[in-house]
Amino acid sequence: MYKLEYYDNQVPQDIHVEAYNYLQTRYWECRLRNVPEPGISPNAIGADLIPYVAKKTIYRINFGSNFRAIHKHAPIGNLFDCINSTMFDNKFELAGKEIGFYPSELYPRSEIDDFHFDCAHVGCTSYMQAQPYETVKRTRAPHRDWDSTPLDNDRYYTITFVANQIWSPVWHAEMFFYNDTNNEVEWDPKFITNMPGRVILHDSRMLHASRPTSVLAQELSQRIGFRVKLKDGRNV
Amino acid sequence: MAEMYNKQVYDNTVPSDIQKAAYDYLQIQRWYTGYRELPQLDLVPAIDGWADTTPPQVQHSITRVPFAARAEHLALHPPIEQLFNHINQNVFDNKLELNGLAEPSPGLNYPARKHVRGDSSLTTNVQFEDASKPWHHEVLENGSIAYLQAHPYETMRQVRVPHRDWAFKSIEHNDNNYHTVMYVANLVWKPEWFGEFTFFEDAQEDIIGADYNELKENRKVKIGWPTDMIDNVPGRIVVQDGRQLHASRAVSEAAPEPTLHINFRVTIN
Repeated sequence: MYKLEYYDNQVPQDIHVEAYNYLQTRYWECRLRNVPEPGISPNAIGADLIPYVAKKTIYRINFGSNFRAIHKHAPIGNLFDCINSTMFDNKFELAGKEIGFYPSELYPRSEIDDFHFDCAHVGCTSYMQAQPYETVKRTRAPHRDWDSTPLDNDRYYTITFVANQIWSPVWHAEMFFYNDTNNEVEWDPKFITNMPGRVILHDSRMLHASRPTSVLAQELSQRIGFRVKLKDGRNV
Repeated sequence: MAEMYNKQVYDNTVPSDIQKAAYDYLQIQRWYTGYRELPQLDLVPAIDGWADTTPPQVQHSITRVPFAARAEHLALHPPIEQLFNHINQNVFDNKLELNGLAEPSPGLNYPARKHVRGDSSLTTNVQFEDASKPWHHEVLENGSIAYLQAHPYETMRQVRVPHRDWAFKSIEHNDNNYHTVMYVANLVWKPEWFGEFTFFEDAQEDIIGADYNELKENRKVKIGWPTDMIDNVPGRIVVQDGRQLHASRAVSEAAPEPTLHINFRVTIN
């Protein structure tokens, strides 16, 4: 069992609002991908005639991979400082496992600054992630926030902050967290809803998946992720 | 404090031969579905303001196969009848009566556009197979109390909003007599293919977005936050009070087939 906790009502409203507003002014990047044509309903009336369309991947904004970089995005830096100091006694540093970052194929890059380009090639440890509609984006398979590091390394964690200021139960976009045995995903995962202002801490080794946003939603789920590492000598 | 409704999960109670007979029977049935258009995606900021980058798409509604408008009709589908009898006898001590609240089938009962497999033109009439048989007319008129429900890819179909299991009839909110018994007919499934059930609590007050139900589905409920999720485990049986708010979630593209749920709308004596 890996560590999984969540906290509500811990981030002050002004810091939350600043972070949310900042996201709305940034570039959200994504890519297109191919979707297999459906053909899975036997003898169906109307089952397999959906036209082929390219679909989108997840949206992301890259905020950098260290303390200096994130503070070029002041509202995001303030958010991290707040969470790390008030909730975790400053035990974490932004030195977790970098998440891959892909330049957008959809939008011109004229507004992307040099800093942004630097990060694009090295990945990042702080980012915003937005889940598009379920009919636009598939759910990613369960995965670890991890690459090739041995699973007995317990120093790496992911902090997720739900940046949406409003959310409805019917808009979905839950996070699923799975137990696993020998890399086999187990049934009936724990789920955590996209409650505004919620902070989720999980061991980066824990298998998880993010469900898409409902087409009924007034906005996409917007979650700010911090890939962190326990400072030397500190424990959770 | 939100009211909690009865729901139970049973695994490994249906023999494999009965499971396989039901599954094979589903593969030779006609499946019915409706169509609808989706809104464009306009929720992403871009350089020139808010982007609208996804073209309008036609999407599936849910896919269903009706089996019975009344309990007597189940005998016309021996593998499904065998399944129901086994569940009733071995899990519920013969306390189930197949007389619950009927459910319509999109593409069949709905005045929606339909396709015929292999014909890309939209039509307005679908011939219900063997429509001359009396039970078909009852299904068309009243809906089904035993039916298959299949959920396609999440990129083909949106998740239904949470709802209670009454669509055709108006019953009192506090009527605890109606239940739905759902059987997972897939023979093979993996957790990473999703297709889970989500259960929601009743909200004590309006939550943003939840009034969609009142506007679009006329089921007049206040939806709270999810309380439980139940995976699509092959052979699993889920019984729930008809008042329990729930939603069936779509499946991953990685899945080789949709989730296959055989539902029985029952009362428990």
